[in-house]
Formats: sequence, structure tokens, C-alpha cells
Amino acid sequence: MNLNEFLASVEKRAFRIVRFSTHSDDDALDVVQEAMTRLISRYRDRGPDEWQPLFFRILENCLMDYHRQQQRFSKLFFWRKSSRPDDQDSLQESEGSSEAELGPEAGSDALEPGWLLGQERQRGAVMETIAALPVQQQQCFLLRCWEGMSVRETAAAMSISEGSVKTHLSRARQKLNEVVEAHGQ
Amino acid sequence: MANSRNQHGSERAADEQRIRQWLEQDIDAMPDELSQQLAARRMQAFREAASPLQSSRFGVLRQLGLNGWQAGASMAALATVALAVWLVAGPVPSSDSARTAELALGSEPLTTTTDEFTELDMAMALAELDESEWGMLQDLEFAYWLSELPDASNPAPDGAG
Repeated sequence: MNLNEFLASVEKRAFRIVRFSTHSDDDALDVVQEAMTRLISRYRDRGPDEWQPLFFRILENCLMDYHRQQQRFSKLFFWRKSSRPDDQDSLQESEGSSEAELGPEAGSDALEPGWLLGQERQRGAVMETIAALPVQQQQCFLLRCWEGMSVRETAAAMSISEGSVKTHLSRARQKLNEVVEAHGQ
Repeated sequence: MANSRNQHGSERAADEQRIRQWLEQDIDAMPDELSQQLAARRMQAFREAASPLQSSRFGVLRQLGLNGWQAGASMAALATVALAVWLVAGPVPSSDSARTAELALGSEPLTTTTDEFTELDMAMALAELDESEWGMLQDLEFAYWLSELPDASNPAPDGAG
């Protein structure tokens, strides 16, 4: 496998992971491209087995750079609206909107019309919740539970301690489980 | 007790499995246009990695929606305005002539004129910065901003989970 094939195999997942955090296709594309550029320019000579951990570490660094830049930008140009609402508020808003989408009859006999519809609503609520999680909880959950990285690999990718990974992961799981249970059938 | 814990754990695992499936479905349902954009960005990354000049994709210019030419034009316009102001305000006396004037007046030093000259100098120097120097300036500004942050803003250390 060459570097081009490797990047082609991970780019969609990388984009999705970043897209949850940036809430914008263009910004997510920028972050992924930056991570690709850094990997190619600095680590193209490394072995293929090293590419994945390196790429996700670079991706997380790029994502943090993006958020720092956003923070600086929002302070510098305070009259412009931030693209990302406050973490806690956005979580509550998303949970509220999910409840609102379900309508007053949700949780009762109204689930009868279609199992698929219920599944779709549950899926939507979970995706919204992942998108609204604080960045570190969100990235821990995605790297650990979706990318299948170990706690150690996740900690290395995010440049945080293993204990922090476990804490973030536990909080993310708790929130997601609440949503799954709330929208369960 | 242990049974209920096991059951709870298996339910959680099933929920996570379902979430993973939804995420995979999301990837499968990604629009072709987006897939093509990703492929184009990959090619662009290879091109950028091959070129010696690389700049941060998240710089202030990018945030302002300015490309290289627009940024250059803005800098040129700024330099022109600064030059016009300088010409209208009159030529700045050299340090010798300023000293002579100061001695002749026998009063306060001509600090105002000197300050104007310094600001103009800075504006001209800023206008002449290239992309890498500009990036360095941004980094310095960011480091300064970081140093200004109060310690209380740091997140509390997490305990083991």
C-alpha cells in the first residue's frame, strides 16, 4: 500500500470525524487536507504500519489548531457570530430539538406506525448528540469506539493522558446512552 | 446484582455497535460530490507537500476569506495610504535637524514627529512581510495571547475513569 492509497482509505472517516467538530464541510475539508499535507511532507518515509496512528495524531492536532484559531478569531472579530455554539448549550439545544422533532405523541403508541421511522429518529438524535459533545469527549468517543483505537493510542493521538481518555469516554458514553434510552423503543 | 450489571454492559455494547453501524452508514451515504472534493484535496495535499512554501490553512487571512492576491492588494493599499498620510503631514526631519530644531527652540523634544515616523516605519515593514514572516508574526501574537490567559481558564485535571 502506498501513501496515496492509505489516504484514500481513511479520508472519508477522517472527514466525518472532523465534520462532527467543525460543523462545516469546507472547514472539515481544510482540516483533513492540512493533516494530509503534514503527513506527506513529514512522514512519507515512515512504514505503512505507522501511517494510521501518525495520521490521526496529526488530524487531532490540526483540529485543535483549527479550534484555537476559531477562538482567536472570535475574540479578534467579536461582532461576528461564532460557527460553533457553546458546548453545553448546544447539547441541551440538540436534545431539546430532538424531543421537539418527536412530537407530543412520542414515547406512546405513536411508535407503532413504523419501526424504521423510530430507528431513523433515534439515529438522528444520536448523531446530533455526538456533534454537540464537547470536542475532547467527541473525539475520544469517535477514535476509541469507531476507529477502534486502544486507550493508549487514543491518548497518544490526542496528546492527553490515558486517564483523561477514560474520563472523556465515560462522559460521552453516558450522554449517548441517555439519548439512546430516551429515544428507545 | 452481577447479572444485572452484565445485562447492562451487554445493552451498552449493543447500543455502541448500533452507533458504529450508523456512522458507517453515514460514510456510505456520503454524496459523490463530497467524495470527489476529498480526492481533490488529497491531490492538492500531495502538490502542497512537494512545494517548499507552505502556510497555515487556518490563518487570519483565511478566516477573513482573503486569498494571497487579496491580502497583497490590501497590504499595498495600506502602504499607499500610509505614504499619502506621511506626505501630507510633511517630511520627517532627520535626527540631526530635529536635534537642531530642538536646540533652537530650547524646549521640549520633538517626540510627536518621531513617533509618527516609527508608526509609518512599522506600517511599511508590515506591508513588506512575506507569507512565512506573516505566519511567524501570527505565531508570536498567538504565543503572547496564550501567555496572557489566566491560569484559571485551564481545564481541571481529570481523574482516572
